[in-house]
Amino acid sequence: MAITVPANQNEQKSNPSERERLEKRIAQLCRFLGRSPWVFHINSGSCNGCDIEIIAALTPRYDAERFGVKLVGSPRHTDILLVTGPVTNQSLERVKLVYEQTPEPKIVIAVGACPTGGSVFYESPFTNAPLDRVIPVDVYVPGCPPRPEAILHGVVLALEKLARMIKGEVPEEVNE
Amino acid sequence: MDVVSNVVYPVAGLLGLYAFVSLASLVWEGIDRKLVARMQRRIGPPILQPIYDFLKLASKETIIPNTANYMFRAAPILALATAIALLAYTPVGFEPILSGKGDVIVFIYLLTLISFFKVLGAVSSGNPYAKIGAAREAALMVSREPAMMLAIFTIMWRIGKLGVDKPFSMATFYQHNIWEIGTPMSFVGALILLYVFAVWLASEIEVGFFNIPDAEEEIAEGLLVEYSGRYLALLKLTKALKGYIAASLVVAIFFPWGISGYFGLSGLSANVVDLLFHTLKVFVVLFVVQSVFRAVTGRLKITQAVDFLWKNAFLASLIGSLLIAMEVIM
Repeated sequence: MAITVPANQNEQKSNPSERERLEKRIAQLCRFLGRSPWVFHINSGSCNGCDIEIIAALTPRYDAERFGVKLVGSPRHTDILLVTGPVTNQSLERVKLVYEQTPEPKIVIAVGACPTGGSVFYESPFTNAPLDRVIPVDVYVPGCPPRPEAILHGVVLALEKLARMIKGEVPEEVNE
Repeated sequence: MDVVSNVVYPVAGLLGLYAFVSLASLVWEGIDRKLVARMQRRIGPPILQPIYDFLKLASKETIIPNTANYMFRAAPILALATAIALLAYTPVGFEPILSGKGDVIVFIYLLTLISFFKVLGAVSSGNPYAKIGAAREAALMVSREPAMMLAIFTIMWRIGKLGVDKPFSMATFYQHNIWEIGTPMSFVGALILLYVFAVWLASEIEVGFFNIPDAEEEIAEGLLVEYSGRYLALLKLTKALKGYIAASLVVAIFFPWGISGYFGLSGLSANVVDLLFHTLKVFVVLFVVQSVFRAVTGRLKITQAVDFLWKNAFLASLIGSLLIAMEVIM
């Protein structure tokens, strides 16, 4: 399903689409936290479908950088871990290691059907899905692959959890 | 010895300058990210984003790897201390605070020392990516400095011939500047050296072609890979300060004119107005050398970058220096 973007986006204000509502919520949460969520992406044997959807959330259309979200290259710098893939035996130790190396406070988002429940690799002897058997997971984003809107929704849930973790409360959603 | 005028005033001035420059340089990083985002048709982060990043990093957990030794923890603090000390020798619209006590050699020494501490911290972390980054930083460092040093020594020596209080002091740029030499040949030489300094500035702040030691996508942010929390915040601040200082040098050499004279100001208010105008000029120079250069070019390989710095920038520096020095030598 293609995303329709109206020629004049300001006319949509009275009836905001799902994406706009999520983006407003993310902006509000980021302002509330006063933080800049930096994201590190772990590929634990994914087929690249979810990875491409994550990249789609960073492209100019969605432009995650305007909320301060940055894709960083080292787990030491990160606040949010995005894990894709069914955690194959080869990547098992690496996923644990990356989780341990991430400084607190941190949030883990499992993106896609594989880390959520195993998908087609369910009960396969060579994978260790679901991800919460390996590391604590905060948010699941099911879908094969999930759409960028679903990932944005997952980020909203993650930021709410982060707000609860740091400030002890979550701001009310404002409907304009 | 007058303690007040020799110790208290310089220290107070340095602290004020440090507070202003760290804010201004962090705000510039935000403006730069915003401008590059607009060039790529994105909306971009808020202008204060680097300050949010700094505060966030300062509040996060700091992890020290098992493989690291004590230099890993000392290096970010030493690098920031060096950057603050360097501010006392940086021409920022008026004569440097300690211009009477050190000359251009101290300036170059301290500027190189920042990179040196970064390399030392990265090597001490024990991470292979950090070691690759350190090797690249060291290779870039020894390639970019000769072109700049040759050019700056020639310019200062030539300005010294016009009659200044203290040759080779960082204050000479505000007594005579490079355009006052006046001969057509020196004018061409000055334009060539402006190119050399632009290349040097780009490689000093490591953007565009020269974003090699901190390559995010390639070697996991290289030198910074093992740093987290407070130490990463200190290193980010040091990087911003270093960008401001290096651009200040280019501004002082080529565009040293102040505006306080036109308003008839003197004393502290003149210094403040000159500092603000200098900051504006620094932002313009950084816009060309950092934002535009970063948006339109990609990263070179380290061998290509070293080749470029020696065969292109150093050669241009040699020619420009000869043109400037020519009528005195002959």
